[in-house]
Amino acid sequence: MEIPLWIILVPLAIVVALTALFLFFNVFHLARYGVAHRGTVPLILVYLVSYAFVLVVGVGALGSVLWTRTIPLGDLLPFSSSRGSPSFGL
Amino acid sequence: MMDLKTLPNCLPNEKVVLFLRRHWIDLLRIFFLSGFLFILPIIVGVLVELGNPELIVHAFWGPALTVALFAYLLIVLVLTFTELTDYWLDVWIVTTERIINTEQHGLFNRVISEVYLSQIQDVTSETKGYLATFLTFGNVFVQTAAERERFQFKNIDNPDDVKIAITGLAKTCKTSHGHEAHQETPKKIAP
Repeated sequence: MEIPLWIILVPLAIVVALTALFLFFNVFHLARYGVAHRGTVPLILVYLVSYAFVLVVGVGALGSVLWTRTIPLGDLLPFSSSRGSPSFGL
Repeated sequence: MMDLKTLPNCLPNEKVVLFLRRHWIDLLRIFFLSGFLFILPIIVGVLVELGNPELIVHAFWGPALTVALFAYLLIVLVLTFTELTDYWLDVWIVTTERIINTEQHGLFNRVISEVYLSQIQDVTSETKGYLATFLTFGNVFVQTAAERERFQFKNIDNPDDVKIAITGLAKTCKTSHGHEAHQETPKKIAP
């Protein structure tokens, strides 16, 4: 039995959606309830730029992976095929 | 955004005297914790690389670890934002007429309260601990005549100076408004 590699993108998509929602709430709170004082607008910009930076770097790092590939379930354990059971020096 | 020049329910001739936030040590705590959480995957990555180098290049676990790292960084980033927003929205505004206390507890819990300077009965400053004494930060408690919990300025810079300023403003306010205009007079109980 094989599983498609893209399946691990599903929890990532949920995390991205939730963090984007929380980013929106943070920006909304600052814009709505913050005091019009030096620092509030730059702080909102820092939020947006740093989130976008992590998003772009992350997507870039994942871009090189061939997500349409399938992996046999037996290969999920990294040592199952390459190494035998430990001999403990016997 | 709330403008300091046009406060909600602004009284005639009311001016902002003090605009206070929590001490920068609270900001430093947030940055230290976030910094640690950001470098934690590097430490874990080095340990995994040393313990089992095959895991990083594995057909499934390689991409899975990259996805996990990506998700982790996004979560830590947003938690840092939430803490920063909490810090940024905790403000105390002292005007010539009143004190406005705005406190953010997490993202969905916000408390705004105000007290008129003429209602103030007692102002107490508190500096507790080595770090607070060395960096001169602490709490200021404002007690009114009404039966409500004490008004608290949490972890502000120079609490003693703030206490003196509030006491002086309250005195000036009471003098200019007539003695204790907003205060309830105690009723006499018949014998």
